[in-house]
Amino acid sequence: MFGQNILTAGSGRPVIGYDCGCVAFYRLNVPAVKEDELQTMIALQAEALLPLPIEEMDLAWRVGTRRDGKFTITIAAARKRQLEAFDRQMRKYKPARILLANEAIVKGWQTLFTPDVDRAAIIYLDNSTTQVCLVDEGKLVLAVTLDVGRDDLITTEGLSQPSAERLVQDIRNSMERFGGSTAGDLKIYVLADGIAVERITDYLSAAGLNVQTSMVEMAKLKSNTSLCREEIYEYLVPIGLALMELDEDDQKLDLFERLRAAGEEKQKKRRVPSLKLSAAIVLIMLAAFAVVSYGIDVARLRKIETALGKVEADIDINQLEKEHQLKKVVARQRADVLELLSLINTCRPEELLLDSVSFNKKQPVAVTGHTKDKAKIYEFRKNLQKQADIKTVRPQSSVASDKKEDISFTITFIYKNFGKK
Amino acid sequence: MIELANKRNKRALIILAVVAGFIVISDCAIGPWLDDWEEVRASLAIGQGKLDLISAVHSPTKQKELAEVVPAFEMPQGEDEQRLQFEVKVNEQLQKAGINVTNLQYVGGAKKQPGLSVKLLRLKCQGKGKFDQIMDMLTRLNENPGFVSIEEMKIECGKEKREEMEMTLMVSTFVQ
Repeated sequence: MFGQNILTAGSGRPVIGYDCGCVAFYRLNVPAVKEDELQTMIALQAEALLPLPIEEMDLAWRVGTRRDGKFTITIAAARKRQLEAFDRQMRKYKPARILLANEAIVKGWQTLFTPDVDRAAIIYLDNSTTQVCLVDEGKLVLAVTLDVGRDDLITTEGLSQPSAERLVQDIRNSMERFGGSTAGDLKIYVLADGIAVERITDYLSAAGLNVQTSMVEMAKLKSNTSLCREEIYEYLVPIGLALMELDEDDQKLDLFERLRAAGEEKQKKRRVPSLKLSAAIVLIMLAAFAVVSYGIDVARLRKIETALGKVEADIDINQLEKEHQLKKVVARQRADVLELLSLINTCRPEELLLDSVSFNKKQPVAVTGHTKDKAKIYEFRKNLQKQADIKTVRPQSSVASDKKEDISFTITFIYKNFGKK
Repeated sequence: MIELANKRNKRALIILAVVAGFIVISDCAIGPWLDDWEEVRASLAIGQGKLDLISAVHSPTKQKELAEVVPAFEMPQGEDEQRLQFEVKVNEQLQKAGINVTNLQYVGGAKKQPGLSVKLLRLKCQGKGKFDQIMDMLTRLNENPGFVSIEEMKIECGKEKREEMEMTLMVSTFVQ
């Protein structure tokens, strides 16, 4: 029932042909109204024509040219369930588009066959069926699928009379449906493969049908190709599908538009995570982060407790802490008086004698001494001032002694941080 | 309409169930778990502090620096014990240095030290000796485990003999 022709388009995704055996075609004349109104009008009129409720059917239509204030509309209709089943079946090929095989036949005929006419009926015989299409203004407007194919007609003993007769009858019925007379105004073209189909055409002509053979015009093929007429006939549907896909302006009867749009929407939704999903992911991540953090903290605590357990067996931590704190206090408070005495001695000039050195943690250091030369006192002060640990060197007194001709002096200074008030 | 109302009711019930479930879980599991985590973190901070202290105390660099200034140290005893112990040790060091001690006595009572759990006691010693003996004494002081610092010091040359020096030293110790 379902046929398929798959052809990979330029995008790398295939174009699939849908056999029209299950597609019903209708022609309507509707008043020339605006596009949005047209849609409602078509749906309403189609509802009356369709064999099933409109909810169960998918429609595709094409607006023809305006004649006498009316549009001629071509409608293709098929059961939703069947289209969905086919779409599901073809999903693995990730098709760019699924098009009607009969439209591909018409496109192929228009492009590669002769004669090029605007209105005609064309007959295409494949192995098991025969496609009868009404073409108007170069587009498919009606189509009928007949259950007689080349395999039924051409047998080893020649042309099968019963099958040929059935075909004649079916074609007559189709022509009546197309609204043309069987022998009169509507031209009927039988697409010929160059070998077998000509015999069938002859039979149809003999039966009184106004049929002509339409052959592939090899001159229309622009590229150098090794394809022969038979091969082009055989692959007419894939070739027609490719031509349709390449012709972007071509208005196609796209029965799979709804399903394709739904699929794209679904994919878009899949690509963009919903707010709920994002929030759930964030919450889960936060929870996981909290649990991991807690686990790390517990593990660290255990590790520290183990380490401390080993240490605490040997030492009292609190005692150690107190001792360490006191030691630091002692180190801060302890003045190195040996270093102080050594500094004073280094700064003392030779002819200057020291009488006393006085140190108090809360007062400046006081040095007393005597010398015969006052310049030595200045030198001593100068030397003291040069020391990095000594600051604020001040002479407190300088008294000359009557008896010994000596000058007694007192100098104070700040040593490191001691003696500051 | 009925179907819509049912849908809304269903959604409200689901939200209610989720909120109720969250409250129950929060009360029964999350709350105690967070409390436990808080305790873990507090214990972790204490433990880390102890470890830091141990590593600071046992750090070779810091140990060396501290040992240069404070080569000997013992935790202070109670006041009575420490008074005696420290006085005996200082006297011993004065004797060893060869200082002729003329006076050795504590000055004032034990004074509280701000921020510390110990008190400070000051011991005044007066004596006579040569300069090198005084230097020897000052060097020995650092070996005294109860010694904190020199509070006051005065070295004066003798009036008759310069080399016979008079020394006044006020040293301190901690007591509990």
